[in-house]
Amino acid sequence: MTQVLVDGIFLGCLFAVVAVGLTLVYGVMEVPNFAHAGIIVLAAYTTWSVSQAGAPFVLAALAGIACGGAVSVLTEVLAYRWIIERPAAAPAVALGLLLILQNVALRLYGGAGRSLDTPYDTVLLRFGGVTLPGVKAALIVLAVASLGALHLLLTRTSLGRAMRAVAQDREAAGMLGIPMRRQYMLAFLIAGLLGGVAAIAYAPTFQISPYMADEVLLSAFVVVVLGGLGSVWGAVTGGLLLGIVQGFGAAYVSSAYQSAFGLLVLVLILVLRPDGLRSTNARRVA
Amino acid sequence: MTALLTVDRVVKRYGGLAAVDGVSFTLGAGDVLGLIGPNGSGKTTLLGILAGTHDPTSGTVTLDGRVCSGRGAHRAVHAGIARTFQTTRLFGGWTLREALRLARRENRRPADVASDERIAALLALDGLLDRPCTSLTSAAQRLAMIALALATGPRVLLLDEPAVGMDTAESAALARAVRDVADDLGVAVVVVDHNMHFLMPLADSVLVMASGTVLATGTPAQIRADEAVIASYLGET
Repeated sequence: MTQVLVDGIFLGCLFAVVAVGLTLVYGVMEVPNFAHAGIIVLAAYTTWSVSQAGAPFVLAALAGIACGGAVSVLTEVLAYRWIIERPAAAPAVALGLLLILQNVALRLYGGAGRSLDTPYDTVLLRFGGVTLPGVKAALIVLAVASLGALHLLLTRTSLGRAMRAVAQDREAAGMLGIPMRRQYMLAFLIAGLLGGVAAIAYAPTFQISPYMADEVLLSAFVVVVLGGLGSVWGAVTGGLLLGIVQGFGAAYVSSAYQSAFGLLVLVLILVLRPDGLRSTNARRVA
Repeated sequence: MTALLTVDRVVKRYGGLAAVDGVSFTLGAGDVLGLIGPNGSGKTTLLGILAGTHDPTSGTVTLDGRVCSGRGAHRAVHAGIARTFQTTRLFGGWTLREALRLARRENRRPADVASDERIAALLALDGLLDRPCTSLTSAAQRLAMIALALATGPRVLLLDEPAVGMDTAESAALARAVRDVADDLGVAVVVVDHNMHFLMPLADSVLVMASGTVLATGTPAQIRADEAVIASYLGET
């Protein structure tokens, strides 16, 4: 029971980190950023190749996170920025970017799965009857730390406050003299860095391939809708909720239907609370 | 006295339609200009050009000798032109002070900007600075939107139908507040409104638009007596 809960929390932390990246971008720019999965893939491969080259894991991890941030900003500067006046084009552009990023990974690294070794691979934490592998513990720690840092950024710094203002009302934020392009770039930078964190935390529990993040992305989108589009704390609570539901569903009913439980929760929430758990953007619900 | 704001033959076309078709005027510091005209006459488009949200097809807006049109909303704000919207646009759960602080930080000449308390006093929002914006009355929310615009340290303030939805007492208080802002801060104000009881006593001069062009300009008394304006807009009273 407790073991299932802990596994659910692990999954929930992963969903939350990915979903917060999606919801930040959606909140600021109203783009469903499918390319986020491609960012995670490239960040994971970067970490793997730097670590293969003999660098210490911490350095490789930082390189992966930096790569995530850089590629994410590139997608904004080279693609999304140009369609800001045409929101209907955003999903197509996002899917196209996802294909481009995945094929870059395929071209550079081939389709074979790679495994990422970490210094904490062999660690196994035990407390009571619960066991937690080091890689999962590391993911939980990284998720809490990065989401905590994001919370401080959004509430304590003027850049973060400007971000929340833009997410609430783009035009009104422009009226205050907030440069939109700076905020778009910042949102993509943070989303990319979180994607990098997700990549290095999640790759060791799985394997690195160009399609490694597809299922996580699907779950993360469920989380974003669950939590209310554009709501960061909705994404965190939604992520944990979905992780725990999927964990319990897999353990007590059937693991084959793990993703189905998540979608079931989504349907229930959409029926009962169409705006999501914590919707902040009344203006979007037209 | 040289003009603070010079609008020179500004044109904005959407396809074949000229929403604004060659409008020119000048405005000095502390002046209040009323901008009136029938719906669709181009008032809001002109305001959008002044505020930098629309690029003019031709013509220029010059603030203190520097061209500031066609460069985006945030650059217009940095240059010193701030606006409010027809609808109330505030940041939901924030207090007015938080929102003011954000507006202040994005401004590059913080020394010129009036303090939160001074802005609140001018707009009769004393004591409401630390309340969430959503808990204010709708009239106070509209004043709060002006407060945000003032916190960016503007030299020109554009008000798009500020008195809409206000009762007589509220719009009279708003008119006093706008007059105080113009006099005390030396801000040039452009006010678009359909409420003549609000606008006419407030404005130093009035510009009437029709079909994108300037139909008439003058003092409120001259405009009230102008036959073309009466025919196209004010109607017989």
